[in-house]
Amino acid sequence: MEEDLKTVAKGKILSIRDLPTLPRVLDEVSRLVENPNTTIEAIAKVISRDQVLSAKVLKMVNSPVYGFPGRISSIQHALVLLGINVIRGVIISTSVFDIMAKAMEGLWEHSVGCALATGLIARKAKLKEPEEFSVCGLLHDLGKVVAAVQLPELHKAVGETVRSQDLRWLEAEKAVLGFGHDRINAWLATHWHLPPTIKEAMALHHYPERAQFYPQHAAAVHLGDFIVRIFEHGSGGDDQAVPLSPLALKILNLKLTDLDSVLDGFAQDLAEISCVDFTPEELSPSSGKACN
Amino acid sequence: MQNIPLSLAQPGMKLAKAITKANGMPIVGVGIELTETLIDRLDSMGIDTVSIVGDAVSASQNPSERVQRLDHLFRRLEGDPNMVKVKAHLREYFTIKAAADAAKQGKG
Repeated sequence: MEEDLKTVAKGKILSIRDLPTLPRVLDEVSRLVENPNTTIEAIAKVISRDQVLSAKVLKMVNSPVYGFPGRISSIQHALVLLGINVIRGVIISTSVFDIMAKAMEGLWEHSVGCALATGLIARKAKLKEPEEFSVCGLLHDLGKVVAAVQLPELHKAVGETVRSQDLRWLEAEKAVLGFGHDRINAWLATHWHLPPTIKEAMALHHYPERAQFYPQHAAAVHLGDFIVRIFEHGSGGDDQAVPLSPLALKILNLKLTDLDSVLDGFAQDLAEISCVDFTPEELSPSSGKACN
Repeated sequence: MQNIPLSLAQPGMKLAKAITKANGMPIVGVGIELTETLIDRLDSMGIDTVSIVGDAVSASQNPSERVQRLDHLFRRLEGDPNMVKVKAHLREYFTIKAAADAAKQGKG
């Protein structure tokens, strides 16, 4: 019976494909990426056809989250600098959150904040391609949004459980659904053919010590989530600190005191990312800055 | 003004907008202060979002406010020695930041 509920829930969650949420562009981009002969120009052309989406992607990649504030002027430039995985992640997150932001108040801010903090952690740990870590942070709670839209009744019950039993969102999900957004994340990542680094970070951001292949990605998001919760920027659905995995810092070869400069950087950039709202009125890609 | 999920509403917060039913019928007027009872009642009526005055739940770069919030945020982690250590470190970090801010303001 329990297994049945899970199968039904999984089916419902994955029928997200049928929603008008994800732009067709993404399918096309995924197809192009599978072909080894595809050029960056071809991918950029496909994305650029959707002007609203392009404007949002440029707004996001020009925010301080990715470390090139105000310096990326075209989709092609963004693809060269940040790579296709980051751009796909940005497209997914902006598209899904765009329509669903109302489904879970504060989650967008929480996710952008987590992206910023995760990127700062990756830089502090001197990891290669910190932008990919940022996008892992951006997508880490996608399962919550999708559950909110696909399973609204159960989502409401999770919220009520958080409140009545003073639980963290993940604990309440497990109590109500039998599984958490971490599991949903893994389904979604597989469904959208996201790279294994992003998939593992999304699926194991609560348990980085369980990551088999990319523990650094999972650990960086784990710490990023912790930091954004300490600052209470946005909301992951509850108002509690998350227990840190004792191995998280070790995996990244960091000490607790190393977090100080990350906190400094986070506080500094917070005001600016607070304005990244992806409203489509800004169609001019040359506007550069995320906040005016 | 800030829209927050009801799960984060606290007694003492003031409503920035009236709460209405889906059909537009008002339930609670603007400016009313939330109480425990009122929050419970809204919860049972299926209200999941409220607009409150100010930005009580928003990002706070104010370190002295962070210091004050640590006990609340870590309320279920007090029995975990590792997290107690992390919390102590954060308290020290934000306390120093708050003192630095105060000194700066004093000069300015």
